[in-house]
Amino acid sequence: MIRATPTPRRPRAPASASQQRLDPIGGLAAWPIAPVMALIMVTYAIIATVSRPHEIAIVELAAAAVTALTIAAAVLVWSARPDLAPFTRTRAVVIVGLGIAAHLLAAASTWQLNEMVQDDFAPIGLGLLLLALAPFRPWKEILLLGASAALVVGVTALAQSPFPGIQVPPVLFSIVSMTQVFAPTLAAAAYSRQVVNSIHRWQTDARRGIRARTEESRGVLAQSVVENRLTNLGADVLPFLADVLGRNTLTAADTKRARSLAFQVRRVLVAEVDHTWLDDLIDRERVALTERGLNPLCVIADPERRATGFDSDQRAAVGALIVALCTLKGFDPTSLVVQIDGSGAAPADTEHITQAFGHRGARPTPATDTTTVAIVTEAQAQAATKARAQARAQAQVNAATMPRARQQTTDHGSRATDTITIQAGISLPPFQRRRALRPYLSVLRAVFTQVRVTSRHPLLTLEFDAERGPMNTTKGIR
Amino acid sequence: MSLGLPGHLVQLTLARALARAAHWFALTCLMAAAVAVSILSLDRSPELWVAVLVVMAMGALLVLFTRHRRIALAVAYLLVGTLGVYVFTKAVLGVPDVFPASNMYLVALPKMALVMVGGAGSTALAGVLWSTTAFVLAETAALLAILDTAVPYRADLFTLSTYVILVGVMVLAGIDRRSSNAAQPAIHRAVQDGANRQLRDALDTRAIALLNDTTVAQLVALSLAEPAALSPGLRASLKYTLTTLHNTNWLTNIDDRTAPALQPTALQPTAATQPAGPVQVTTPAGYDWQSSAVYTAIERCRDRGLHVDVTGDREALVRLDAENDRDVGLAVQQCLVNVILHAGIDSAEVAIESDPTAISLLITDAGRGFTESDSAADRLGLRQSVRRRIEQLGGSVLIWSRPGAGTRVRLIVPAATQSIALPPALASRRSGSNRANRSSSRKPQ
Repeated sequence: MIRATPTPRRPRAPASASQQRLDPIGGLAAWPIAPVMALIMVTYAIIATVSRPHEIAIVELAAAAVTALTIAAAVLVWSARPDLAPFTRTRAVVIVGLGIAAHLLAAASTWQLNEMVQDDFAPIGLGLLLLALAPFRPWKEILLLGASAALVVGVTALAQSPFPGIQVPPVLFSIVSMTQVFAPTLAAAAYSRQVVNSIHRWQTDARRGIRARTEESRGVLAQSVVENRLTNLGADVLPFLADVLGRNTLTAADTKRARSLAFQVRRVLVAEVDHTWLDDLIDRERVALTERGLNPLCVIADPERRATGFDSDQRAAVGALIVALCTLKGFDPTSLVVQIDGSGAAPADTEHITQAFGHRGARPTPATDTTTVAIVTEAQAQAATKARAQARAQAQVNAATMPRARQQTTDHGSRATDTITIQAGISLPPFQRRRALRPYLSVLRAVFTQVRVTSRHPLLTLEFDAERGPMNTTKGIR
Repeated sequence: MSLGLPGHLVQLTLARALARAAHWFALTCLMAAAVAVSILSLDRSPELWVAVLVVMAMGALLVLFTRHRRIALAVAYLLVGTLGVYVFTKAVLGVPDVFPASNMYLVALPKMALVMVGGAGSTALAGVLWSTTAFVLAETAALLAILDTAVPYRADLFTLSTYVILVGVMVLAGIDRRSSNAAQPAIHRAVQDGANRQLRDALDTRAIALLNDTTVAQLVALSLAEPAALSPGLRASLKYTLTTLHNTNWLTNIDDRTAPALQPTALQPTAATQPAGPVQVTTPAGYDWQSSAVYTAIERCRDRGLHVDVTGDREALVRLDAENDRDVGLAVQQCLVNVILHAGIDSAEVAIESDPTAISLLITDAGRGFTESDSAADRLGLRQSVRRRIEQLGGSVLIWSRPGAGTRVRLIVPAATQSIALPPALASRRSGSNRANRSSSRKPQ
């Protein structure tokens, strides 16, 4: 058998992992299983009920049973919808709970008249519900839910055993009913476990590959950082220092000039320190759009530098989305606005650096300066002022139109929530736009909470929340 | 996690997962059949043991097939299964006066298990073909068996629906989703870009800290100096700054542990005669803390007229690797430069403590102290050169200060326990002289 990936080792996936969580784009492809299963189980429930009226003792209970199973199927379809991802544990419990309720109601409706246990619609429906959970929930959870459902079904079958028309040992009824639930459960759990392990193994290898590639470019990156820094340092500092050293004396003019240079260099360095990955990303897109002969105007409003609190997956998801937006046909290059605000403390400004080295335990440092854009030249300064003014105006509009997000976020106590708003004008038919962005949105939903998409043609607005844990506070800083 | 499976792995992964699912479904059916027929055999007709036997044989072949997915085993499972379905159906339905018709779930169990062979197909088409073959064989065998019994034939919807659902799932998994194809590489590229950017940011952080330590500190020192001939300390540090910045690889070269020993302020006889740096970590018996960057930093500040008392476990610094040593040295230097520039006092104390997992350095002065609000927003010293640097190493920085009450800065840096780098003999020799290291050698990490 060929392995999915060539590594001999089997890294363990987190217990809460599901296909949808680990591979949102793959999960997107798997979602049609839910409506198909729902359709089959509801159709069968109706046919099985209608075709055996002589077995029904209480019609109302039979109707209630079919209704409960239909609701379970509807909840399943609703929960599996890609735009409502991720599929939560609560949803799975509600679905299986409704299935069990349908089973109990159906058993009550045919009490003492059930000729055959094997053709009851509820155990088969429960089995199909559990089977449909495979791409969305972790295997242990599916197994637990399936075992609970099988137990209820088994006990009910045992209770009904004196009544059916076949004379076999009562436990046989239990075995038949439980198999109808348990076989699909085990199949779903096995699928979930296998697919999650494969994806996790691939991700481990891919991340190792990415790390290796990054390390390979260390020399080049270091060189470019050095060149960039020395350029920023200006042509003045090094000759000045060399001159002082050469003369071996210090004059009053020298001390004055040293003070002025120190101030200038420090100002540039401080501005650079406050540059975030999002600024870099937008800078690059700006360059790419200019190269395509367009005249881009991309605005970032992140006054508290909240972007630094994003982890690498969140950065990748946002980065891929912004790149996709900018390269989409019909994208208006002057329309992109990225805004981050939220509740709770702003993130530590060193978090992104410590992540690169895997030290998550590092203590945060509060940012003391909120300049977002490096002010190096006059032209850039003007552009930055303009961008900030626009962003502020946008923030005011958003604050007026979207108070909901902020109200929600204040309830989290010490947890901080960042709300990211991305706005872009895209003159594409809604269907094509949705189709092009669907995979990126599915990834966003896997790494952010509360992804909201609103559209007023041609303007598309995406809003999503990132939650961070409680922040440590630090003492004085000078 | 956003790194999903790339296109070329999707089919293979899904096929494998479906195979697992199908095998477990089949095994559950076979187990249920075996248990149910065993109970029936004990209760009614003992001759049913043959049905139990064929189901067990199918189960054994299925397990074999799960472990070694070979076509020969699939064919064997198909043949044994077909025979098994015939024997099982005939035996079970042959029990007199129990089953009213042939469409019993119990009878369908081995058939459903047989249909599941298709789940192991490597492509959707192969899977559908295997499943269809199995379905046809199973139904034919069952039909022949039913004809041999007195039970009337009724169509078996259980096997049929299982077959239809399996085929449907395989087809669904086999459909190529073109819209996702472009997105997955884009996500992968974004993750790679993010990693590059993080490395670049880390290098930039280091570069800014170094520029702040060298250039800005130098300019500030010049701006504060009296107009006169350059003092030897100022001259040495000016020379060091220029040498560092003229070297095009200063960002990467500075990682070298030997670098501090070559710096002008470290040109003490003891430091200059020390053996080359990295050797220190592996042969700590010969370690002299004067080869550490912390010592160099302290010496440089002493050159600028600061009186620095060093106390505590100096040799613990050997536990820092080259890069950490360099960064801790630069952070200590910045703390001492702050004392020179801001404290209005000419003495400070550096206390070094160690425990099994970390080294802490406490830099204390009795100077004028400060409050956070007094510190200007454009000040980089503590923020960049001390805090970020130490946090980048996974450590932490605590600062206590109040106007008029001096300043204490504690740098806590994680450090490897010494026993990792030491041969046992050296470790035991060394443990006698150092309490902290003794405890760490008992608890290697």
